Amino acid sequence: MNLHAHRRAYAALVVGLFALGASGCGKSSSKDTTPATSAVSEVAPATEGAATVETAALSSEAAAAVTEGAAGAAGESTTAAPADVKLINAGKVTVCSDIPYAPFEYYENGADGKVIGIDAEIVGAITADLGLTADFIKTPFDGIFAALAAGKCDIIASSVSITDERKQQNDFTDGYFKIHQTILARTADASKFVDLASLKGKTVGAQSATTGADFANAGSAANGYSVKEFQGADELLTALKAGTIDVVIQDSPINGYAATQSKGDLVVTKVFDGPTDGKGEEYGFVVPKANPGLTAAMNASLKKLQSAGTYKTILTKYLGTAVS
Amino acid sequence: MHASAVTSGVLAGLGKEFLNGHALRRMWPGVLTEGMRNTVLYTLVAFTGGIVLGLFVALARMSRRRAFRFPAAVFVDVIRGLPALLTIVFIGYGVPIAYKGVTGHFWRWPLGDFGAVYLPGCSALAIVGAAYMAESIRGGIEAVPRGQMEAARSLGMSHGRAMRKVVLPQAFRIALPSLTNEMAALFKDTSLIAILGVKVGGREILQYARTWQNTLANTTPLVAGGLAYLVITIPLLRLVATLERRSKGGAR
Repeated sequence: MNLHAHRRAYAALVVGLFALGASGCGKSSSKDTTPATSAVSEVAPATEGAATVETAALSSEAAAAVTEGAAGAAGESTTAAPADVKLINAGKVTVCSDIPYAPFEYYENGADGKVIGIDAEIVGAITADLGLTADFIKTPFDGIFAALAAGKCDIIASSVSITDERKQQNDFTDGYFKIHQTILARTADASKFVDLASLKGKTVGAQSATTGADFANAGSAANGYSVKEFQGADELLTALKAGTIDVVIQDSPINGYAATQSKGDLVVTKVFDGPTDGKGEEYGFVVPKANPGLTAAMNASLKKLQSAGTYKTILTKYLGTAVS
Repeated sequence: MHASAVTSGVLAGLGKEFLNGHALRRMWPGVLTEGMRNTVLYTLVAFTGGIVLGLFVALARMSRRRAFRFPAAVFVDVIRGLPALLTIVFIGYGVPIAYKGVTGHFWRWPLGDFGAVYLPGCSALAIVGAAYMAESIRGGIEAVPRGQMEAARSLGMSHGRAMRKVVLPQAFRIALPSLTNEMAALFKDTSLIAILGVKVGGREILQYARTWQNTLANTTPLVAGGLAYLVITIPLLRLVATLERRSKGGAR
């Protein structure tokens, strides 16, 4: 072969690689984006649908300053989102959530279905009330606040306990579910691990960056157990079943649900009063401080759901009649 | 696991845990239609971005001007000296957080959903790939005999034209084995971008397999996911070996 043939062959190869990559790009953008308009431009507002919301999202790009104004008033009576609700993607609330965390957020039909659970349904009802839809992104919990700050999502709905530390960086909606920290053990160990002192020399599993991990770590030195942190709550249960940890310390509804689902393999052996003050914790949805309109609108919708009974119906559906 | 006979017990355990038919059925054909599809997609996006950026970095590194040479050298050293995971989190979260004040309340990626969820991770992988591929391309350019450039210049070509038409095609040919190698590396590294968040339908092989592994508390999904990687990476790595053997055998 001569030089020219080589040149053409390799030029073709390089061009081919580019074309391959470019076609991959194009396919993805048309397949993965639901509204065609959002793919075209981040600024151009779509003409159909909730026009007020889109205008609000548009103006928020330009104006960093937020006007609180009519947030509270507008949220009460209307079913559409108030004008000062700012959204990443027009018409939908993008939600960061660490899935699975049953019964609050998990996939229907194992690992492939849509997102269901208490959080998913409450957020679904709130967004429906606001004339919007909800779109869940599975986000590891130990990076979930960074994801919110990075503008990856509008809110976090992921069984997040309201804490003073988290409130410094973010806004929370009103609390919607009270929880406690609990110990989950294998049924064979049910009588062995009944409080922190009984865990001496053992390995406690907890999920990174959670209040459960904070609680477990706080008692570690005094009670002589070690804490192994996992990125996902699902990995915790796998580890407990596999025997690489002795117990799991995490939120009461999650451990309770895991015990119920385990068909007798796992059991909740201890419910703690509260991390420090004996009062327990409460879940809230997390909203950036820069978006008070959304917090106000969500709070108004949440109140409506609670007084209309929708809230209770959702809880009963997932927790049975035992929990109110 | 049954313990009647040690051997049969161990074998039964192997089958149930590592080659469980039920688990395989649950993740079929998703491991291909979702996992493989997205792994290939993210690899192509990262590789394409990486090779373009890498080419510019390589040319900058070989520039006569220090103003080009120095930042390119720093880029290559820094990125190659960092874990890819750090770069991914930095690009995916750090940059948007730092600059949201400049671009408005929310810092956004283009291309809608794909852009919002996966482009940050793919871009970070492209940057990682660019640092490695820049070195491969530079090696390729330096390996092209000087006479090629001189001959092209003496034919009246400008420096840029001679680079484009004569030197670079030969350089890419020389760099082909290591570029292919980098593609295999990127193919595996797509598993890292899940740290920035994923959606059902957009999971790559490992994330898809891990979701099933934890859902079923069974290891079979990881075995199936591993096979899905190997189906692509082993042929790629064999190709690297073949290309290397050929280039050793002489140019023609």
